[in-house]
Amino acid sequence: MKKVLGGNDAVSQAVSVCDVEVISAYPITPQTSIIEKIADLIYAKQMNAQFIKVESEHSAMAACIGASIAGSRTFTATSSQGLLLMHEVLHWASGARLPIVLANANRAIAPGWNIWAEATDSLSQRDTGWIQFYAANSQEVFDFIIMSFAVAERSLFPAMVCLDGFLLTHTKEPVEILDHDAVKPLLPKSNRDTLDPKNPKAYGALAFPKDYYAIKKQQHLDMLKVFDIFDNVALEFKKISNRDYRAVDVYPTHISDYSIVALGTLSQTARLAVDNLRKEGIDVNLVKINMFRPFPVKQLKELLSDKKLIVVFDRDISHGKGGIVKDEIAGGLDLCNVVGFVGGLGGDTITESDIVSCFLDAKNGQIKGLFL
Amino acid sequence: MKLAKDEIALPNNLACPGCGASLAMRLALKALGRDTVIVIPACCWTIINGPVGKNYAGVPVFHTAFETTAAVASGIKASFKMQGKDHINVVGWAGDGGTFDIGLQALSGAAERNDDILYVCYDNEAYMNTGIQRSSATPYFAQTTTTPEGKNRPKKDLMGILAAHFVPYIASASLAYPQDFAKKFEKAKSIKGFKFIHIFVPCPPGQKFQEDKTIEVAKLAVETGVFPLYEIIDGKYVLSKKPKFVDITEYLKLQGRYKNLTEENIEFLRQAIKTRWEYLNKRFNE
Amino acid sequence: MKHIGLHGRGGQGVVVAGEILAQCYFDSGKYVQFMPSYGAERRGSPSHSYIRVDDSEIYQRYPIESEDIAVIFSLSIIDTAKLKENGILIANSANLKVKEKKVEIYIVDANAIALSLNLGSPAIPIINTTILGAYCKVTNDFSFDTLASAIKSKIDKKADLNIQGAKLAYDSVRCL
Repeated sequence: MKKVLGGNDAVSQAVSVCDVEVISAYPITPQTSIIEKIADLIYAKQMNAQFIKVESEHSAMAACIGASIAGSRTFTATSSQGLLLMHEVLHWASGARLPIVLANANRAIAPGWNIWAEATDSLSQRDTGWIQFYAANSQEVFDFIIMSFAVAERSLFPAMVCLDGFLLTHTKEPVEILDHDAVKPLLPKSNRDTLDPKNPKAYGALAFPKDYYAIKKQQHLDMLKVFDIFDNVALEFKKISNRDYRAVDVYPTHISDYSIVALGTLSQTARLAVDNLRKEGIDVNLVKINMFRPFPVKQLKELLSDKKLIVVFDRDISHGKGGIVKDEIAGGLDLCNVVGFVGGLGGDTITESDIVSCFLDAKNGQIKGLFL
Repeated sequence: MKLAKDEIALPNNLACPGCGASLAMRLALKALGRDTVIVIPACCWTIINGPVGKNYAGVPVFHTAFETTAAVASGIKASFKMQGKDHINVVGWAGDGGTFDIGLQALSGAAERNDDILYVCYDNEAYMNTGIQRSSATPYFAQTTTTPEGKNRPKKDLMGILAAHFVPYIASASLAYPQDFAKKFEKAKSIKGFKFIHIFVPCPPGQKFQEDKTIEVAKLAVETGVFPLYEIIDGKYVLSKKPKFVDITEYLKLQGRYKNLTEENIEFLRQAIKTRWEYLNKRFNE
Repeated sequence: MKHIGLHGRGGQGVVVAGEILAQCYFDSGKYVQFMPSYGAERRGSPSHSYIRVDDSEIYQRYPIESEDIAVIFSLSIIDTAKLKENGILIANSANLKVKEKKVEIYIVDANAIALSLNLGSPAIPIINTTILGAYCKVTNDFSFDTLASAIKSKIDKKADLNIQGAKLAYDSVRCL
């Protein structure tokens, strides 16, 4: 069934069919309509869950950790400052191997106060050990939330689904939704009984260097297993939805001289730029990253190793270095033919002609600077 | 006493029509004077004060992260002390969300250390800036977007929490009683150590009443006994104004956030006011 | 692709009107993209919503720079509309004079209609559904029935009254 939904609507709609038991969240623009809708659904008894209205985002994640270790399917949503405030506990959630799902409305970081789209908030959390998905439209938001629960629970890692503030959170478009019965086979109830008085264990205790090193090594190796887990979940998801998902997408074909890389809603605008460039006879394609962590090195190598030039567009910045996605691609793939541009910070508008113009500058060796 | 004539806060700020928070700042600054620096976390005044390039408060303002108000104010004051600028009032100006909830840790820290700051909580009883979600300052039964069924817990007694920190001055103030309001700010100004003033601030879009009824709502909050006006001076409770105890329905009926209250709810609230005042009267009479 | 801008003041229901309009196009088999504009939100400040309509998926993710159709809820913010030349202007007004651009102007006294039906208050009449009736007549992009069911799906209280207002506007909108 198709409905006209914004990204936030898609989040709450997806959460409502996933048998989530505990939600703890704190309001922050532009996430608020997610938690308001969930409060409404619980009040109308269309959703059966505990909603802990915590006093800060740090506590929101902490409460999620408590609910998750106790065995419940758990969800929260936040943005920007809130995600940053959670930072310490994001590390904890991953280290504790808890399958929490978080929706992050990508928003710029203060000061100055800015509520509009920028991906620095979630990209700057790439070291916390969370699985990260970036959605380009409301359909992907809906689908990624559902798949995140499955991937998280099978890998025992927390997962965040990132959606651009206002450009996706509040922008409404047609979405094919799935109901609870359709989703249920993908998300069986877990039998985890971690805090059991009959079988008392302690979690997260003091770890001397040798033990700590072993645990952390395993955490990394286990995270690398997420690629296969995601592919399996995607296959099962295709059966219930008829939609295909991969860690990385390419448009219109993987064969090309050049590639433009982007994630989130920027990839949609970049797609239009690719269309325009190809009309002018330039052999360029779009590489769209859906899963940013774990970093899909293998898939990206397959797609990007043979390019004359790769141009990456970042709606984010690591001050003193440049765009984060560009950095990850150049470094992760050991490539020297990668050029990065940064733009759209604080929700500043980026159009396809901006992308075309920067791409051509790069192709012609006439780069004017880092910024759009 | 007369209010100072000097208008420090500038007109045409970005507040909604009928905004109580805007008036609160205007009155507060009249009492505090121009030697004042204000710390503002995420709250309505982040917007009211204007975007980059504007400063409607009319005194130096530092915008800060949501949970940090009291800590930042403490830092500023410590620096001013070192620079011999101790005469400058350092004021934290935060909403209820940034005080009762996310800012409570920093507030408690500054209070416990008796840092020489004035912390003002302008309380519109919900997260209004982000669209009317509940805070722990939201009263019993009030409707917000995260409590569509009405809040099922009482408003936190923040003045009591701060009294438990043994600080020199705590007070509640009302826009409907501007002279009492000004006196309290004057008194706070004159005290060294941690001061806290709690202002109930009517908010037309959030509490859902007509924009021209701001002062009426503020007055009824006091006169029904819902918002007691008092001070806690070195631990001693002092009543500012004995309310007439007008029936609470006069106050509730003005506000859309209470439109779903049952007779049972209202009777509960009447009882809650009685109990609260029994508690306070004991302390006033000590 | 069609580009539509709705412009009014906070409290006039510009965003809900946009959602209803998007629903109408969606129900007529189109692909729609609806974007409310967010600034420093408060009652009385300008409020806009934007809709893109096409036959296939829409990839543009930035504000509309040039509107094919502009719907004006309140003449006081008419300058914020970005109507292109030869575009269509639909304004809530009893009377209107617009110089400069070559645009097709349609007016409907939505305030009067709303007041006659007790939609909203004299200070803030609710005209968002009413003016969509005029939109429906002017563009003929979907049937009035489509509009009526979209209104029913988005409006909880007084849906029938809102539909009545839309019908009155449908019948009374006129070209200048």
